[in-house]
This record gives sequence, C-alpha cells and structure tokens, in this order.
Amino acid sequence: MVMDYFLVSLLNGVIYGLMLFMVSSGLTLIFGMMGVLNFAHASFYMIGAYIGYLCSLHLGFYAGLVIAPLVVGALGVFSERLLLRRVRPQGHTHELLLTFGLFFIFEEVIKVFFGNFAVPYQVPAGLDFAAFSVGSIEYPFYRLFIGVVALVMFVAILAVLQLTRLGIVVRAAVHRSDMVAALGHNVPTVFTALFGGGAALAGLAGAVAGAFFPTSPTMASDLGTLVFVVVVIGGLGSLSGAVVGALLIGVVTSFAVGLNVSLASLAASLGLGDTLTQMGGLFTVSLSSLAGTIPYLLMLLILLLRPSGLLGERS
Amino acid sequence: MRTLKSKVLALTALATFSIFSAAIQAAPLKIAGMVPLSGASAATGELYVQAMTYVVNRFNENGGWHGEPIKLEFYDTQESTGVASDRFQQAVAEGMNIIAQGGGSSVAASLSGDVRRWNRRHPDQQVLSFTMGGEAAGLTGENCHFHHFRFATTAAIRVQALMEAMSKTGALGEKVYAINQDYSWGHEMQEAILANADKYDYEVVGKSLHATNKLADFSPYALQSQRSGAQTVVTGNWSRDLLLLLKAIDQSGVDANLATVYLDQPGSIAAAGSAAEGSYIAQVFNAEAAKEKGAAYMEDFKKRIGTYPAGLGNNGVISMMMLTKALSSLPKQDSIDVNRIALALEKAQVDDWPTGTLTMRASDHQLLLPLVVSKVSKDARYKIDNTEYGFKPVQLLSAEQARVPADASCEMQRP
Amino acid sequence: MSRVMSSPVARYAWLAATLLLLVLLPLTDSATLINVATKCLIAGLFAMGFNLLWGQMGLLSFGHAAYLGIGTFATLHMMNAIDEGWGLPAPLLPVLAGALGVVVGALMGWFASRRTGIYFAMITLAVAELTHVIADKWQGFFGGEAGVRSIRTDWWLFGFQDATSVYYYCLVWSVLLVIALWALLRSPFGLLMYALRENEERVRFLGYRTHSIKVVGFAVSAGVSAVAGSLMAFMNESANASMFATLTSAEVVLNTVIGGSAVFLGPALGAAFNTLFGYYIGGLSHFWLLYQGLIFVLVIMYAPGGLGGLFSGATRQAREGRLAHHAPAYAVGALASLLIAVATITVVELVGTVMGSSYRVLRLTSGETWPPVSLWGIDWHPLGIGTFTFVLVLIGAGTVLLRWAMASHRQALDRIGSET
Repeated sequence: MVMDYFLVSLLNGVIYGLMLFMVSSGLTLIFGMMGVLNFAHASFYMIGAYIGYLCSLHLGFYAGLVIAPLVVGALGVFSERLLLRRVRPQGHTHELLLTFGLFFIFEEVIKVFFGNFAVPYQVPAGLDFAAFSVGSIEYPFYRLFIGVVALVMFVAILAVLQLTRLGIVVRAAVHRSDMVAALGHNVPTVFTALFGGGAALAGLAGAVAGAFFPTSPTMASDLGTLVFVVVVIGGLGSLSGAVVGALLIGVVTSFAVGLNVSLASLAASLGLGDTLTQMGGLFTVSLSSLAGTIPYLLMLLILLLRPSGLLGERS
Repeated sequence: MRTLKSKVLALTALATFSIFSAAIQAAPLKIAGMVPLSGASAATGELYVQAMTYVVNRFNENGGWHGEPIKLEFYDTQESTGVASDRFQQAVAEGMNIIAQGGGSSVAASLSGDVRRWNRRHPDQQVLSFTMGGEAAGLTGENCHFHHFRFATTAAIRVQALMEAMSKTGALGEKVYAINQDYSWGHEMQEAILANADKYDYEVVGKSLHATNKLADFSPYALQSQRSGAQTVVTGNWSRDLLLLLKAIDQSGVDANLATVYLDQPGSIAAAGSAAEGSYIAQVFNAEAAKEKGAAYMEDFKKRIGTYPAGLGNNGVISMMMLTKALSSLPKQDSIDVNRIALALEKAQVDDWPTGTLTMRASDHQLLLPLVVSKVSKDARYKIDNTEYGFKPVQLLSAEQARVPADASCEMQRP
Repeated sequence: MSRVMSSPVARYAWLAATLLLLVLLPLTDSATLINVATKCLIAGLFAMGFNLLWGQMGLLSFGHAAYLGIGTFATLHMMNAIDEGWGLPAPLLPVLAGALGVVVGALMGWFASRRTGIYFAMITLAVAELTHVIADKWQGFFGGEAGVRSIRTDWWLFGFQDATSVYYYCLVWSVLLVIALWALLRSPFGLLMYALRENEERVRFLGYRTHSIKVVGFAVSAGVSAVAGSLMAFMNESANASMFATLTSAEVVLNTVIGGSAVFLGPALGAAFNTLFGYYIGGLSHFWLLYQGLIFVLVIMYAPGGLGGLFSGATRQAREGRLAHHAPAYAVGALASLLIAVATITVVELVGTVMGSSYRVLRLTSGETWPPVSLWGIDWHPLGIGTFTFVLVLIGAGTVLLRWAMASHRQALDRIGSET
C-alpha cells in the first residue's frame, strides 16, 4: 500500500510537472532570446483552453488540438509584431509592463465572451477511462495523455533547436543577436517567429490540460506565477532547466500533500519539547497545507544562492 | 400593467444603473442590496438581485408597508471588502436603512463591522445589517451585535445536516475524510466534521487543509482519501477548489461518497458534469422536497422573474420574507426606527416558506431554517445549468432538526 | 498667456492650485466625494513610495502589497490598544507603522537588492507570495477571513469620527511625506540613487557601497508604503489578509505607469486617476477592468511618460509658447480618441451583455432570438445593420482623424526643429 501510494504520487507529480513544462517551455525560450519575461504567457495557455473548448463544441476535441496552437500562435505573432516591437526601443522593462497589461486585457476579454465561470470543457469519451489500477487506485488515462503530449513536445523542440538551421540561428541569437544579424539573418523576424511559436506551445498546453483541469478565466493567474517559478528555478532561458524545474515542483508539491507534520510536531519528535506548539501560529501549520508555498520558497532560495538557476548559464 | 419582458429589463437595468438613481424622498424604507455584480462572483450576485426583487415587488404590489412601497437598490461590492466599504458609505449617504449583503463571509464581516461603527457614531440614523451569504461562525459568534441578522447557515449547521441525513440513509459509513480550504471557513468545516464524529458514530480517518484557490492539481488529495479507506469525503470547498476536487476524485476512481456544501453555486454542475453525480449537498432549499408548495413557489418565481430561483438566491428570498413579515407586524411609524424593526424580526415567524417554518433566534440573530440534503442525480425533477443533472432530495430536515446551539461567544448588547 | 506661464511662479501655480482645491474639497459636503478623495490620497502616497524604488532607482518591485499591509495591520492593532486605554496619541500612528515598514523593508531589501533587473522583481514577487500565505494562516494577528476590526478614537482636540476629519488627517500626512520625498530626491543621497540607476558600476568605482544605497532606498520606500497602509487602516477601520494579494501589488504598478514614473507627482496622479476610474466607471460598467487594462497598454505604447509626462510636456510647451502650434493636433487627436473609445465601449458592452446570463433569460422570456440591448438610452439590435454601421463609422472616422493628428503633430515638431 505504501509503495502503491509512492508510485502514484510520483506519477502524479511527474505528469503535473510535465504539464507545467508545456507552458514554461515557450516562456523560457522567449526570455532566453529576447530578454523579455512575458507576463501574458499564461494567458496564451488560457486562451488555448478556451479555443479548445470552442472546437470541442463544434469540430471535435482533436480539431482543437490543431486549431488552438495555430490561433494562439497567430495571436502571439500579432502581439509581438504590432505591440511589443513598438516599445522595444524603450527597454525590457517596458516590454515586460506591456505584457503585464496584455495579461489583464486577455483575462477580461475572455470574461466578456465566456463569463466568469468555468466552461464545461470535458475530456473526450474516447480518452476518459482508467489506464491501469494500482491497488484500489485507478489511474486516469488522460493524465498519461497529457504527459505523452508534453514529452513529444519536448523532443520536438529539442530536435528543432539542435538539428535544424532555424534552431542554430535561434540558439545563436540567444547568445549574440548582433552577430547573427551581422551574418545576414533577420533577427526581428526570428524573434516574431519564436514568440509565436512559444505562444503556440502554451496554446497547445491549454487545449490539452484545459479539458482535465477546469477551463476558467482565472486559470492564467492561477498558473501565472507558478510558471515564473519554474523558469527561474531551472534557469531563465534554459529549456532543459525548465524541464528540471517543472518536474521538481510537480513532484515536491505532490508529495508535500501527504505530509501531515508541522514544524511544532517535528520539533517535539526531535525532543525539543512543546514550546513551538504552545507558541502556535505558523509553527503548528501542517506542511501539507503549505504545499502551495513550497515553490516560492524554492524560488527564493535559488534567487539568493544561485540566480542563474539550476541549469542556467548566465547570471 | 407591465409586461414580463419589461420587468426583466427593469430588473437588469436596476442592477446596473441603480447607483445613479438615488433620490432623496420622504422616508420609505430603503434596502441596499450589497451584492457582487461584476467580477468572479457576479453570477451569484444576480441570484440575489432576482430573489430580493421577487419578494419586494410582491410585497409592494400587495400594498407595501402600510401603503408605502419599500425601496430596493443594488450596489456592486465586486466581492471585495474595500469596495464594499465604499458602497456602504455611499448607501448610508443615500439614506438606506438596511444593508443586505449577499456573497462571501469577508464582505459580510466587513459590512457588519461598518454597520456597528456607523450606529455607534450616528445613533439617530442607525441601520440594520443583513447577512444573506456569509457563513463564518464569527458573524453570529464573537462579532455578533444587535443590529446584525444572519439569514444563511454556518459550517456547523451544514455539516450536522449532512451527517444526519447521510447516516440515516446509510450512505455515510464509518470512515470520513475531511478536505477543506486552509482559511477560517475550511477550519470551521473541519472542526464541525470532527465535532459530529461521536454523535453519528464515525471516525475521521484523515483531514487535509489546502491553500485556497491556488492549487491546480488535486489528485494528491484524492489519493490521500483513497489511501485512508474513507467511505465519505466531506468538503466545504467552493467554486474552483470544489470543481478540481470533484474531478480529481472522479478520475482517480475513489469510491467514497462526496458530501459538499456549495455544489449548487451557479455553473458548478455544468462544469463538473458527470463527476458530480452521486455527490451529496446540504441545501437551503430544494423545491422537489417541498412537493406542491415547492412547485408553486418555483412557478410563481419564474412567472415574475423569468427564471427559477437557484442556490443561494433562496437566502435572498428568505431574508426578505422575514423582513416583510416583521414589517407587517409593526404599526405605522412616522419615522423609521430600525430598533423596532430589529425587535419585530426577533419575533417574526414565516409559515409560507415551502420547506417549513422560519424563525429568528433572538440570542445571536441566527435564522433557524429547514434544510434539504440532496444528491446529484439524473432523476431530479428540476435540472440545473441546462444539464441532465439536478438535486434529488434525500431528506428534508425541519428547522428543529437542523438547528445547532448558539455560539457561546456571542455577547449581544441590547438597546 | 504664454508670458504668465513662463514665470517661475507659474511652475508652482499648478501645485498651489491643486493643494488649495484639496484643502477646500470638504466644502462640497458630499460624503461620497470626501470618501473617494481620501482613497485617492492613500493610493497616491502608496504609489509615491513605490516609485522611489522604480522611478528613482530603476528597481521594479512586484511585492509592495506586503509593506502596505504591514502598515495597515500594525495600525489596526495599535488602534485597538488605544481603544482599550493605552495612551498612544492617534496622530502618531503612521510614524510607528512607518518605522516598522522601514525595518521590514531594510531586511527584505537587503535580500532583494543583491540582485537586479528581473531577478530583483522575482524576489519581491516570491516574498509577497510568502507574506500572503503567512497572513492567511496566522489568524491571531491577521484575523483570518473576518480580518481585524478596530475603531478610531478621538485624541486631545481632534475628533476623528467623521469623514472630513479623516480626510484632513490623510491630507496632512500625505503632503508632509510628499515634501519629505521631494527633499530626499533633491539631496545628495537622492542624486546617488539616481546615479545608481544610470550606471551602478561607476557609482561603485566612486567608492560608494551600492548595496547599502539600495537597501536604504528600499527601506524608505517600504516605510512610505507602510504609512499609506496606516492611513488606510485609519480610514477603513478594518482589513483582512486579502489585501496582501498579488492584485494589490499589481495595482500600484499600474497606477505608477499610467501616472508616469519620471514625473515627481506622476504616480500620485495615476493613482488618483485609477481610483476615480474604479469608483465611478466601476459603478457604471462590469467591464471596467478591461477598459483600465486597455488604457494601461495604450499609455505604454503611445505615452510612455504617462499622464504626468503628457501634462508636464504640455505645460512645458505652454511655457515656451509652442502650445498653439500643437493645439489643433491635440484637439483632433482627443476627438479621434473619443470616437474610437465610444466604438470600443459599445462593442464591449453589447458583446458582454449578449453573452451574459441575464440576456439568456431575456431571450427565453421575450421569445425573440436577438432581443435589443439598452445602452446609452438607445435600444441596440445585436446583429442589426445600424449597430455595425455605427461602430464601423466611428472607428473609421476616428482612425482617419488620428492619423491626421499624428501627422500634423510631427509636422509641427519638424517646423519647430527647423526654426531653432
């Protein structure tokens, strides 16, 4: 039973982490290349979910998996080309603030069209079954499906970056965009393409994950800061860092839930007496209820000790 | 005579533009509906607008308060304490007599505090505070005061009702798991679940508190409850946290019953879909449980408002029914004395509420009301959110069965 | 006209007039207006404190809600202590709250300012998230969902029972702090902060300990924010942990950007604008947050100096006698913006209403597929030709006018450039 629990918890954590990775991958690539932390990135994830929902109503679920990334990618291209590019001369802070504003606008526009509540975007019947059982626990197939999509995505991104000419230009532009421009490549267009591509990845993530987690206007703000945490922990700009950061956060949050211990009980079991219990307040809060805060603590530690992140190259 | 359509239009217009139609007139009784009309809780606010309008219009058509219609205006709290305080200032400046809140506990607590301070400073222009939606114990506990009345339930009331009905029908089992949000409401739910263990003979095999509206993945909690061998999972979660928990439990194949409080929030059943089937809920109202009386109420409401009353909206109906009942018992006054209305409210008894008698407990100003424990099912007579599901009554508990003792921490100073 | 404006006195005439207006405002005797004005003052002070970090030192904090909240809760507890008989002079509450803010700010600033740029912002974000969690969990101090309640007590000759007295209390404190901030920015230390933003390395080579400068700047900024929080506690007499939410930190960023971080009083202007916007437009339309977001993005794109930048630009042109050259372009530009705004609002309100749940009820009860929607006293048919024509004509005309205004503005600039 303990082993079952451990395995399922691990799987849960890994798959949640992979889902986080799907959203963070575009974010970290965009930061690495353009130096912009895109606040609206999680909004692309949300919009992807809503488009997936619309498609599932009229064209079917699988059509959504194709259309959502395309539409969201186009939205990304539009945002970069018409908006971000205009404020680029004023520096990265202005770009960041612009994406901050876009984040608000996207959420509100979604509310205008779809209202404040979650929309009934459901897992298609063909994918809604238990993949296997561990003891008495049934494991939903759709979770595995999310994991597989994320893995395929990771491999595809790596292949594009490592094996294609475009990938070489992108990687080179991350390091020395002026040099790449001098070699005759159109760096602004590469930027636009990358921004659109990153948005499309988030859109796909939304279309896939939105069917499993509720699709609601707040899903961007719910996830928004968490994906920042992922990319900071992994190292801003590092794709493999995003994988590690996402998996780390997924697994840690998954296991923390099972820990019904508090600092006070921990101290008591170490023979430090009941002082902390009597002090009450934070010390008696169980670690499981702090599960949501662990990512932020991790991020804080990383920022203070190793700001380039676990796998980042630059400080 | 106005047509139905224009009524609904007027209703919508009232909700949106009421703020600018404040006119200072010779003292009809004025009620300020403090409800969320924009933001994430706007749909809940709409339910209160419909419900209060329904009772007040009916009362005014029948002659009002000694021939004078009572006035109802709505203010948008945006479900934020800061905005609610602003709207309170505006409402008292516009001469409102009753501040009737609908929505969450934080706004309820903030408004009740505003009313207490206002009355302390303005003894000649006192107002009453109605809580139609806040379920935090403190409102009728340590923060109770004479000018505040609660027309909603509490965690203790809801949990006891759930346990009573589920143990009677054998659905409860002996092992219960409590999953709640980690703030005062969730803590109160967890306390109530622990407190009822002996009475209904179950063991709390696990309890989890999680960050409110922050987590995206609830499967670890589903796993925990599965691992504990619980036969029933009880949760006070609402909105997003409830949906995520429902889905996680459904998808992990956990075979425990789920007992909830807020499953009848607008949109919840639609978003949860089949994951909600079989879940239990302690409801303030269920028309099917009240048979013909319930049906008559539903149809009358629909005739006047255009839609069936839903979920928390019924709290709005109840509060206005209690108020109008209390008003009818008072002789005509030259000026409005809210203390006399408050004393009349303490004695008011509503007998024409479909599911049973409503009274106000004088010691802490908590409404004593009947509850219905229901189960999400396709067999329900009234379907929810255009889905094939509705709430099928399991047991109707009279106000006497549903009551829990008053909170001892309430020390009310009476005039 | 331009003669008058160019005298040095005129530079401060605006300030004096604004201050006079603020002092005389309670004469209106409108409880609502006084209430809103007090909120504007508090939000303005908060933004001024925030901007000390950003405008002066180039450090973008995404977690200033923490310092505002610390000031608020400290003050509420002190007010409760006064109510229970402690002899604490009420007018000094902001001093103590501010001191606490400075201490906490120095501590947090010491950590955060070890990093710069986006890393600094991320640290402040993480600290704010953690503070929010602590505030949520620590019910003894922060009061849980119900929050902490208190009541103002009178002190000496001062009664604080009505809105007007609270307004003056906040006004006096805000003006004092704004003057202190102004003095700080003019001081050698203020210049050092500014130099740090421009070139940190050079400041370090000059022998200054740049980290210490940042910590002090952070501490002062947190202190001013805590005073704003203290005033907020004094005004509202209650608060709950939800004020630590990310939204509060985001709002002060929005306020400062819309107001303009490069102009001294810009952040206060932006805060006042957004507070009034939220209060009045928020009462009119459910979609006011969308409009606010659109304004924010438009400011970033077309007026990076914010409202304050526009204002100071216009007054400078007036001083130099150039306003007349630009006036036609400004007037036409304003008209064009108005046309486009009306079109946008029409579309948003119609779509929002049609997609809303009460409209669904209306469709069921009226029997029409697309019953008309009432807006601005007119019944609009959602799919009617009239609606589409109206929107398209407005947008078309607005775009044409806007293009003309921009071209004419550029020409005027070129002309002036060639004249000088």
